[in-house]
Amino acid sequence: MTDETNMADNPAEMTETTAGLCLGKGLDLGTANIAAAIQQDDGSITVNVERNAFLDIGDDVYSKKMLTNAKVPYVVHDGKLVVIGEAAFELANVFGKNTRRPMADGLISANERDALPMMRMIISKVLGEPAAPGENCYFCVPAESLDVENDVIYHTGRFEAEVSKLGYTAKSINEAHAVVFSELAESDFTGIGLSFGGGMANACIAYKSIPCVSFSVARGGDWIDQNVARVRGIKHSKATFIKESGVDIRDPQGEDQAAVAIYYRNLIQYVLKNVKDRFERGQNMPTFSEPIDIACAGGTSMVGGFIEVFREEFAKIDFPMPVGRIFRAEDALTAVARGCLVAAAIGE
Amino acid sequence: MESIQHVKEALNARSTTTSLEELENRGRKRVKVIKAEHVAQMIRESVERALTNDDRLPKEEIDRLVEASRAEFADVMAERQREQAEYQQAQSDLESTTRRLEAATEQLRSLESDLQEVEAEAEELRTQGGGGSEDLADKDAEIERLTKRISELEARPAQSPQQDAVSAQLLTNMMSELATLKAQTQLQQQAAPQPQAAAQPDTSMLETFVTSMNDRLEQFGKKMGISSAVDAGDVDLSSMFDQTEDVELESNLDSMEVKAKSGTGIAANLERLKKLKGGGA
Repeated sequence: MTDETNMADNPAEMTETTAGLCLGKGLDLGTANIAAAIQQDDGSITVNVERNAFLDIGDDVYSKKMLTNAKVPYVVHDGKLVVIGEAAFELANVFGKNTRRPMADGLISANERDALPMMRMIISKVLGEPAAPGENCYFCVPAESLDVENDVIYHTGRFEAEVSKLGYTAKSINEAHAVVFSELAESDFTGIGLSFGGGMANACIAYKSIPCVSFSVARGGDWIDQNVARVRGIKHSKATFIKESGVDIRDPQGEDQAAVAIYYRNLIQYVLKNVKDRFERGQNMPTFSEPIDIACAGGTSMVGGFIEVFREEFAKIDFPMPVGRIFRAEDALTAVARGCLVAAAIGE
Repeated sequence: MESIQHVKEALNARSTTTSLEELENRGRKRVKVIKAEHVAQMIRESVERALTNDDRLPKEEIDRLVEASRAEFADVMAERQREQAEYQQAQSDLESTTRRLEAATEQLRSLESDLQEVEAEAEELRTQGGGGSEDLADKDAEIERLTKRISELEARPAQSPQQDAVSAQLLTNMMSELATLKAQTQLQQQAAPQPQAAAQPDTSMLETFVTSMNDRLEQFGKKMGISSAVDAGDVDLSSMFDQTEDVELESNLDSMEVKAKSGTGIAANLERLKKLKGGGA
């Protein structure tokens, strides 16, 4: 248990317990997954992860009791049973349906009016209660996109309100900046953080932990799934399932996996091209005397062979600055949440 | 002949009109034409042949059926015509009501404008000095009468056509009376002696009148739905989030375990960050 006896009057400013542990939680509000990073008493980290999806089912098919016995989380909304999280994804695949998604392209989906209550339940579940009133919670937000018109202001404000209602002091941090915090400590938080998420790919160039440039492109895992589903004539959820079922994009097996590999390579090329273009045409871009590292993270980067293909494609472009290591986060799925936790604990 | 008319009407109702140019554009150079009389004739012959060929019915019964069908058809047609006439009457009533409402609204605007003029003149009169107590007594009576009329108008519920007509008449009367009052005020102003410093006019009645008229016109305008007269209060947008705020949803999430993964610690990251910021050892 944390000791709260030394909490200051302003809880947001007090981030350390008497045991020396820093309070705070990190929340990755991803299009595909929601993850909360929580520091335990012994200094270890636990990351609670839930898929950001839901599925309406007829209550004549599954009674509430049956769902509970089967450990399937549900919510009753507008008189309908709604299965949420990973179970929704699994059920959708069993019955050949598509899940409903609260977010699209990295932001709250305008097409899902029912989404917010579901997402609120998932956030509450993975985040839990604050260890102390007003505990810091840093949640990630995407940067504005280079390739589509989008606006992160409403998204940021809405989730700031949601997290605050749970008793936290909510603050937002750029998603790729969080990758810098979690993965580039050895480089003194200098380099490029890339987050390949479900709805977007985010990039942040940081110097000594300070973000210099942040941007995103509106392509991610969903873009791959949509295209694979379209060219292979299968459901979106099925395409996601194939993508997450142990594909190695260097050595795809069968037509479905080949389609996944083709779109993965295209996504990587697209992101690299945009990063390069942004560096080349951008004003006030930082100049680094030493080669900088590139850290990749995010659920979409977890596919087999990702970092090898990334290096192959990187070698093909004439990148405008020297680059040292190119690596994928040890735990790519939770890297953003851990980066948010670092920011929360330090009060960045 | 009646059946031909019915067939024509049916054909009109179910056909579309196309110009010769459009047909030509579609590549049609020749079209076949059939007269409504011929269609009616074909229908009649088909029905009669079908009935005649049915040996189960005697000729008298067939004639009776044909006659009954004609009578039924005539009834249906008559009913449709009645409905059409009623619809046209309703349309006419609606247009008439709309015109009356527009006229009443216009008169109300005019009334408001006149009132403003009276108000301005009353203010001028007050600054220059009013007439004697007899004039004020007369004006008092006029004001009383006008106020009573406005109260009557205000008390009338909207909006049958007859009531609209009455309202319009009342408004016309009010306008007329206001014009009279205005003329009297002007005459009084012209006849009034130069103000004397010591003699302060009794203007309280005029002020009361103006205030009363303003208030009542405001209320009346609101009842008439004139936007400029309706207060635009603060818009409460909180209901936009009613569905998402504070709604307790039934769920079994409390009894579910969330998937948890062990992550690498962040102590090293924090240590480096503290050093970077100059706060660490």
